[in-house]
Amino acid sequence: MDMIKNQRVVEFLDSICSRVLLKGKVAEIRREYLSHIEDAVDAGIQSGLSKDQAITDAICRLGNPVMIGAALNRVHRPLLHLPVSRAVALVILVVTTHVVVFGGRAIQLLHGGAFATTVLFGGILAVVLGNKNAIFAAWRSTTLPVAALSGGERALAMGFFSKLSKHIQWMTFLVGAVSLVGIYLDMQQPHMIGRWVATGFLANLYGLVFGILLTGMHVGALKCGGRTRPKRIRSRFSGGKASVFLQGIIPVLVLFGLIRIFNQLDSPEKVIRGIWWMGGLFLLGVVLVALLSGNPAAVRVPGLNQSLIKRLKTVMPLFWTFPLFMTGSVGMVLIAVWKS
Amino acid sequence: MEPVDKELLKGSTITIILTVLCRQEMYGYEIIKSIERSSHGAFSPKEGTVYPVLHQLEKDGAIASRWDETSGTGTRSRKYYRITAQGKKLLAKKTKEWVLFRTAIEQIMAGATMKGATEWT
Repeated sequence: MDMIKNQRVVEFLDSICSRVLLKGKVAEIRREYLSHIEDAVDAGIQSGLSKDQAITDAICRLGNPVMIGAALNRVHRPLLHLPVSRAVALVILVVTTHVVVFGGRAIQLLHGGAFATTVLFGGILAVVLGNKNAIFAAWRSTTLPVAALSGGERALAMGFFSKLSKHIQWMTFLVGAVSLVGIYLDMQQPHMIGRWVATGFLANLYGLVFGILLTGMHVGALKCGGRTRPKRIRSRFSGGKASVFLQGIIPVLVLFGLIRIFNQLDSPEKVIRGIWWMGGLFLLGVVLVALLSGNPAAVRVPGLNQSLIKRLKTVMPLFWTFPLFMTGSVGMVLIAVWKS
Repeated sequence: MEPVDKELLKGSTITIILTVLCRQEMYGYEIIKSIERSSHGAFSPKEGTVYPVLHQLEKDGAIASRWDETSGTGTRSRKYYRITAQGKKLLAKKTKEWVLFRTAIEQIMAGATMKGATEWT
């Protein structure tokens, strides 16, 4: 019984899955409902219904897909989810607050080039995943507007928008608040710079950990979103949370590398050093993910039983981003030469 | 048997699912059919809504699951659920609550019947 290709079944499953925001769970949910429909259709045919009637009956007995999707979404809620409007509002609010409070030095407090990085990051994802919607999804993502903020704001935003436990939320708030106060005090008394380095570092570390986790989910969501391919449904391999987590390493490393380079646009030497630094991180990330998970661009990944060469082959598409990276790098060096 | 009002069924879904899983490990479709069979058709939930409850129970640690690729016909794979020790504790609590609820309802109804009977005489 090939229900997987039946148009009505596919539409029904799509309708359920499109309402589940935690896309890493979509494949499994789809697989479970598909299995249910197959059983129900078999039973219907055995009781004397035609195949067509049996499918109608199975779908009808399951109920309203919108309500099922909503109920599943309440169970499998992503750690962090922001609608576009709130994400944009958050970024505008933070930038405005910075300009009002810190005046001319406002931009220095935001991670340099964070917004440009977001666009570039979306482009990289589009190439890596072969998904033209990736660039829009990158904007829609909660991760990127939040990641674009500096340490303190990032911690505050995560505390506010995340679906974590109350304790973690309050701790995140505290880290963010202390860090922001620290930065403000540093701005008032320049000779005391460094006093609050520890708090800034703490906030950044916190942001980095969550950034990796959330970006990993984001990448998984892009790959798994929409219609899931049949062969993915049948995949026996599951990397689980660890692989989803690992998928986030590369984008975060690239993001941090780009931020560093954008911050050093005043000198070509520094830019070149930054590019080397980022290239190294990029390769390190690729190898790390290849060794540990096997396929950075899929939620369900081949397990550790695969040979190293086979696992390295699965990450080959990542190298397609290299021309993009090189073009961007040359552009940045040219800007730096022009500026100096 | 006439199906019971869905609103009545809502509050007892967890108890019913855990009770059914106490007997043996089952997959979603099997759980639904088992509930229908045991209740002689009185409990007939919208099948699609059982899975979110199962997922929530799994998230809470009351049940655990595993995928079985070999079960069923052809390439069909099924997700089997089983009750955990935590789930058994939850079931004991829910059963106690249910007994209290049933007793209270029976007492109210018995009172109403007595009153109705005396009013007629």
